[in-house]
Parts: sequence; structure tokens; C-alpha cells
Amino acid sequence: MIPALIENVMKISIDPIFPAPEWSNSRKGQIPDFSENKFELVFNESTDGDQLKHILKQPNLQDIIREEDEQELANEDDEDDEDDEADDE
Amino acid sequence: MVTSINGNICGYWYKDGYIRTACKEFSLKNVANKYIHLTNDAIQKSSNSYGKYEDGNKLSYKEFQKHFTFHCPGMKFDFENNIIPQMKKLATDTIKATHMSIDSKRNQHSFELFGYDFMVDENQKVWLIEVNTNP
Repeated sequence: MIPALIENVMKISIDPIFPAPEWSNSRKGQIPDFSENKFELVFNESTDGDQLKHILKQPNLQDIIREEDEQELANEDDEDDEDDEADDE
Repeated sequence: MVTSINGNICGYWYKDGYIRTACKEFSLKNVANKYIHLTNDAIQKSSNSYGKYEDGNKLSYKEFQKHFTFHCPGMKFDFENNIIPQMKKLATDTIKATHMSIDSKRNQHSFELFGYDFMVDENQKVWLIEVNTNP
């Protein structure tokens, strides 16, 4: 599975940036690639990003995020208190 | 895989993967036994039972499905149509949630391959455990 995965990664992430030069006589570059690429596009910022930005701006969601931040801060405070108590001991 | 090309983030789901298995039976009675719940090769390879049940303690998706079809037909376990869609949804959600900050400097032409760890519970619900770079 891993060699096929790496091959598929290169085809998507590297090959489009470094196409074979026009003067190349590489046979590989001349043969159409009919092999299946098992990567499937599930997110494209240019088409999905705007909708998400809209969602993230919703006031009720910002409240949720803020509450979670406060919860994290509270937990950190608790940990600090525990550290202080440990130092006192 | 996440690519960042020309300042645009794209996320891709890989249709294949594998199952890591523990070589000792899971039980809540002794969670201190790391061989029953940590399926990393780094842990499992130290056990005398490593590779006893599955070659390298790993199964392909097909082998995993075959196991349930043969041993637990009543569960109606359908890896392709029930489990994989849940994994794909979770992975897509992580990219949606992080795409604004995952490449904040918007490096030109870069990519990262991520390894997603999932668990499947007895109700065939998939849980995301963690996401790692350099899988």
C-alpha cells in the first residue's frame, strides 16, 4: 500500500509543479497515465472556504468557541494552582 | 493529504488504509497492560504474541471485512459503506476546521501527508483518536 500511496502523493503534489520540459525525450512523460489515483478531493478552499468563513462568523458559534477558550483557561488555572500547591509542599 | 498551491488549500482523502491489531484481548479489567490497547508497532513488536494472529499485527480493509463477515454475520458489519464514510467525514471536518491556520504563512507550493488514527466501537461508530504528520 505504501509505495502506491507515495506514487499517488507525488502525482498530485509534485508533478503539476514540475512537468516534464518540452524538450524532454522521456517516454514516461509521453505515455498517458491511466492508473487510478486513490486520492479523492474532499476539500478545496477556493470553493468551500467562503461558506466556512461565513459559518465561523456566526455569533452563536463564536460564543461556543469563547466558552471553550474559557474552559481551557480555567483548566490551565487549575493546573497552575496544583503546581503552586506542589511547590508549597 | 493537504496541499497548499498558489495560496489555495486542498484536502485529499486516501481510499486505502490498514487496521492495526492488538495481540492480547482487550479488557477493561487491566488497562495497565499496554498490549491490549496500544496497537503501535513500537509497542506490539515487544510482545511474544506479535504476529501470532495477523502478519505484522495488520489487516487490510478487505481482510478486516472478511473477518466480520465470517465470524460475526449478525453484526452486518459493512466496512466500505458504513465505516469508511465516517472516517472520511471526520478527516474532512479536521481539514475544514484547520484550513485557515494549517499553513498560516501560505507557503508557495507545499504539501503534507497526515496519518489519521481511528477506533471503531461496538456500535460501529468511528472515533478519531489523533492526526499525525510523518505517518
